[in-house]
Parts: sequence; C-alpha cells; structure tokens
Amino acid sequence: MKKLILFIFMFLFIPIVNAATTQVYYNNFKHPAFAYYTNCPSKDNCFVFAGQTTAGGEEVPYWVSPQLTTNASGSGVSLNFFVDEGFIENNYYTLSVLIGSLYSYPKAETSNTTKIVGSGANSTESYNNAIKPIYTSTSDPVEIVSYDNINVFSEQASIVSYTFLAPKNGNYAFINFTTNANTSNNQFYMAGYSLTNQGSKAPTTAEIQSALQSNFNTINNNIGGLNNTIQQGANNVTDSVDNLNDSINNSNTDNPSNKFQEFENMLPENGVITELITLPISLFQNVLNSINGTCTQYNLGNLLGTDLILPCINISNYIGTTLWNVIDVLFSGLFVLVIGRKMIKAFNSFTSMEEGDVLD
Amino acid sequence: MFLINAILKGILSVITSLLNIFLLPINALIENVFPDMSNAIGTFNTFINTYVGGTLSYFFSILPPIFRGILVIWFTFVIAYYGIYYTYLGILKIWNIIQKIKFW
Repeated sequence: MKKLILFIFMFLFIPIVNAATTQVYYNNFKHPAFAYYTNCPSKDNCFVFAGQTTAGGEEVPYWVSPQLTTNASGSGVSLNFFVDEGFIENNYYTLSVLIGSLYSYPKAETSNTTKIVGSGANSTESYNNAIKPIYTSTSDPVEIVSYDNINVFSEQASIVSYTFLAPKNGNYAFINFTTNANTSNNQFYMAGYSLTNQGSKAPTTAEIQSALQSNFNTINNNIGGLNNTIQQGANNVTDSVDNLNDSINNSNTDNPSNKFQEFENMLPENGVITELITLPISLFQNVLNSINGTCTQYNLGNLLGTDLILPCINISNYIGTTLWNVIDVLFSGLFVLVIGRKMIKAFNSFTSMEEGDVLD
Repeated sequence: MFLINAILKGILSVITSLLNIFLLPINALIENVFPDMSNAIGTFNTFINTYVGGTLSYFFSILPPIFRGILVIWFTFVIAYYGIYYTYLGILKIWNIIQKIKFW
C-alpha cells in the first residue's frame, strides 16, 4: 500500500518539477501579451501580436514597448530583458524580439519612409559570467499594409533574435538588444518577444532561420486576421454611410431642375408656323452650339447609298499650333478693329441725338 | 464665354416659347385644316435647319477659338441692343396711342 501511494506521489511531483519554465521580463514586467494570442500553437513558440479593443469596438495593434527613438548619434536604443527561472543546463535558448513600425499616410501616397534594421543582440551578461551569443540575426523588414476607408496603415516588422547557451552558474540572464532605424521616421516599437528552447544540441543557422520564419509566418497570419478585422470595421462604416446616402436620396427633397423640367413639359410643342418664324433663331442656336463646342463633322446625307460626310477639320493639326494662334489673333484683331470703328460711329450718332438705329 | 452662351440660349428659348404661345391658334388652324401644307412647311424647316444650320455649324466650328469668343460677345451685344431698341420703339408707339385717346 505504501509503495502504491509513493508511486502515485511520484507521478504527481514530476509535472510540478517540469512546470518550472523560463520567464521573460521586459523592463521588469512580464508582459501578458502572450495570453492574448489564442491561435498560437504553443505560447513559447510564437510571438504575440496583441490586439487591444478601443472604446468604439475596433481592434488595433498593441505595442508592448513605448516608442523607441534613435538617439542623436544614431546608435540605437536598448531593449533590456531579464530571463528568470527554468533554464535547463546545456540547453540553447533563442530570445526573439519583433520590432515593428506602424504609421499611416493618405492612400494617394505610397512612399515608404521607414526601414527597421535591428542590429541584433550585441551584448549579454548574467550575474556571474558573460554569455556569448552563438548566433544573432535580423530578418529583412517586411511591410504589412492594412487600411480602412480613410488611411493606409503600414506596418513594418523585423525579428531580431539572439541565441545563447543557458547560464551555468545561475538561473538568471540579462539580455540587451540594441536596435537602429535608418530612417527619418523613428516611430518603431517592440511588438512582442519570445524565448524558445532549442534543446541541448546547438541549433544550426538553418534551424534557427527556419524557426524564425515559422514565427514570422505566424505573426503575419495574425496580422492578416487583424487586417480582416479592421477591414470588416471599415466595411461596416461604408455600409452605414451608403445606407445613410440611400435614405437621403429617397427622401422627398425638392429638386429645382425637376421643377424646371415640369414647367418645360407644360409648354406646348412648337407648331410649324412657329418653327418657320423662328428659323433664324434656330439657325443662331446652331451657330452658338458650334461656337461652344469643338471641331465637328458634317453629315450631308446619303447619296446613291453613300454617306456624304465632311470630316472634322482641325486646322491647327495641319499648320501647327503657333501659326494657328497667330492667325487667330490677327482675325480677332481685325474683327475688334471693325467693331471698334462701328462703335465709335454709333457713339457719335447717339451723342448727336440722331434718330433711328445707331448701329445701322 | 460659356456663361454668355448659356444666357443667350436661355433668352432665345424664352422668345421661341412666347412666340409659340401667341401663334398657338394659327398653328392649330394650319395643322388641322391644311395638313399637307403643314407637312410641306415642316419639310422646309427641317431642310433649312439641317443644311443651312449644319453648314453654319461646320463653318463656325472651324474658326479659331479666340475669334469665336469675340463673335459670341458681339452677337450678345447686337441682340441686347436690338432687343432694347425695339422694346423702346414699341413702348413709344403704345404711349403715343394712349396719348391720342380722348377720355372726355
């Protein structure tokens, strides 16, 4: 019986011992962002690109760190991590940090001003002895674009990773990342971080890159979901605006043009005598239409099955714009001269109190 | 120029509409009593509008743009002048007739 109880207790204790996993703290705070990511297959193996819900119900990206600004010398800023508990001796760990940039610009602009170049971890130390990195990397920046009906949100992200052997003489590690941004726009942030146990065998570069790629794909998928959420919100707003527009269009508004049209419909159609008398007016309206418009072709009708069409003659195409303009000015000048003389004569007749048509 | 053009077209439309109202009885008479004559006048109107109007349109559309603009201004002035002139003459005639009427 005692053996049985001891056997059961052994099984109970084993999980408790194994549950002591590593804890990562950023700025002395273990960020709870990991817990938000429900699609993550294993919370230790993927980043969290956490979302936060605004008062309006919109899900927006949530940055773990405050804004990271490059200092005046351009040497970058530090991200300090404290890794606590659960280190397994002789195991390798990779601390990966997602650095991202989120900014918006009008849709018309497509300029891309920000590129994140995380320089990778350049130093690390524990309480007792320095830990030398065996591998550091920075993934190429990837631009992820989301948008609503007003702005385009451009998100750029890079993973900066640092792989190291578990500290031998203590269960603590301070890890310092330095990031640089070769940009005029320093609005970049840390979006998430992750510590991955690589096992006791030193991981190869290919393995680490593969793991990073997997992480990055997961993040991209997660951002894609976020984009869908934003897009859905934008669609809802657009639908609401459309509905409002429909309501306005359907309301009984007085359209002045309708009133004029109704008045015009009330007038009788022109009779033949009216058309005969108003022929000069009709001709003059034709002239006005041609003056207002551009070059037109003239259909003379059908003769023996052939349409007689005078083509549009754009004289400036034949003689050049400059010469055509000169001719235009000469014609206009001559016309103004003739009219001017006529007007002077009319003015003289008018001031002399002559009877009759002064323009005649 | 477009504004002047639009005003001119509006004035011409008003004149045509007024004439049509005054000529309504004559139009009805011709169309109902002399339908063949009505058709003949209609054909003539269509011919003039198509060929004379079309020729004028074609001719004016060839003219250079500044010159066309000045033409429109000149047409506007002439129409305005004769409109005022004949209105004045008409009012003057009516006034003379009123003066000749003896109410006592």
